[in-house]
Amino acid sequence: MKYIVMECHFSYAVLLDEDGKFLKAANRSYQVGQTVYDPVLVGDYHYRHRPPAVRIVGRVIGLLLLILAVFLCIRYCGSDTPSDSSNPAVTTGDLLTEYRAKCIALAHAGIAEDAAIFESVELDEEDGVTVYELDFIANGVEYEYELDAHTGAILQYKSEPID
Amino acid sequence: MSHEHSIIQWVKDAKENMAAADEMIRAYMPFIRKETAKFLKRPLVEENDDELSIAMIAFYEAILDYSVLRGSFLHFAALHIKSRLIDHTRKESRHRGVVSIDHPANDGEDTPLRDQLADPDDPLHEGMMRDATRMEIEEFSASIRAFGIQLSDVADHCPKQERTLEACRIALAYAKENPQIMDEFLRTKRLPLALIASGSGVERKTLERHRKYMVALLLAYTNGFEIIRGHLKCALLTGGNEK
Repeated sequence: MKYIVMECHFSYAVLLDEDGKFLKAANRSYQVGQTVYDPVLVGDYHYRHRPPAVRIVGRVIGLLLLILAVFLCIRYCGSDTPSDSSNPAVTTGDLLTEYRAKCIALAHAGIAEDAAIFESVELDEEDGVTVYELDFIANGVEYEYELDAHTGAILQYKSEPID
Repeated sequence: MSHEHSIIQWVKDAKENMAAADEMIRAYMPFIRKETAKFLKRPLVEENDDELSIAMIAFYEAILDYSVLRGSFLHFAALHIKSRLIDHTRKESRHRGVVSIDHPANDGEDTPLRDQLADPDDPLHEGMMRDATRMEIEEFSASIRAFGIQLSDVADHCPKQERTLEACRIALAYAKENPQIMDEFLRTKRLPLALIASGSGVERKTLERHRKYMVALLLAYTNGFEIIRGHLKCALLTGGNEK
């Protein structure tokens, strides 16, 4: 196929082929009026851009992390600590979490969190009220607390030194 | 971030406006040179390296093909330049040992090899023909500019598919043979699309889409542009059936 160079620009040239098509091509130092036979035409390539394997793997990992983040967000929404999730009951409904119940009891007793050793934290029902029963030891004293699991109100508590 | 946004805006403008594309390519020449040199694994020794012109057209293609979904524009352009140069190198390797007659001769000048070959035709005649062609093309460009059209626009609106090209040929053949249409076309400098569509049976939407292309070809066939007409295959304005 023969092409006539119709117009030359800095970055491309306009060619006219024998079928009457006007085409843009690389300007390989062409001059207007020149006849050329092997132009590099715009859009005349047969490859497709495929992202390299590393980028595909990166995208898959990114997607998985996103799914994991969304899952964790849904799972622990409203929870203060994901580590205290051994009892599924603490994260269901609008009950306080175990951690929140512990904090209330410790604050009431005036004990630092790291000074207390919890012996048991149980969710129970008394007279139709869901309660948290917490037993812990701190500074040689044993504490027992009973909290409303919905409101966090302290229903009952006692402390006595360990013999 | 704002720099990337400004590039994207520039690319958007360049997609629609060839002058903006040319300006952007000029501005990014250092980038294009760097990518070409990286591919060639050598510095570009002269401005008219063939690979550089391929890289420039690849950058232009990247402008046309880019969308924000493809990530950073410069990364996309670099990938496109590299792919285009690989494509070019493969093509060249297939023709290794065969020198193009458009290739510059090694005589210290830019004259193509074709001009150095022993030609049964008169070389003086060849040179005169090229000058005559250039002058005719300049005249042709001026003619279509009077219709508010640039040659780059014609290339942008040229039919890509053979079926569309055939439809345009049928419409052009009809227009050329109809004096009423030609009179109106030359007098008003507008293509009477409704008349052509009804007479040729080609959809008006097709004609509207390729209006600039049709104006250019109709002018080439009617205003005595003998060299351009001689270059085109004769069947062009006979409806394609006689091709």
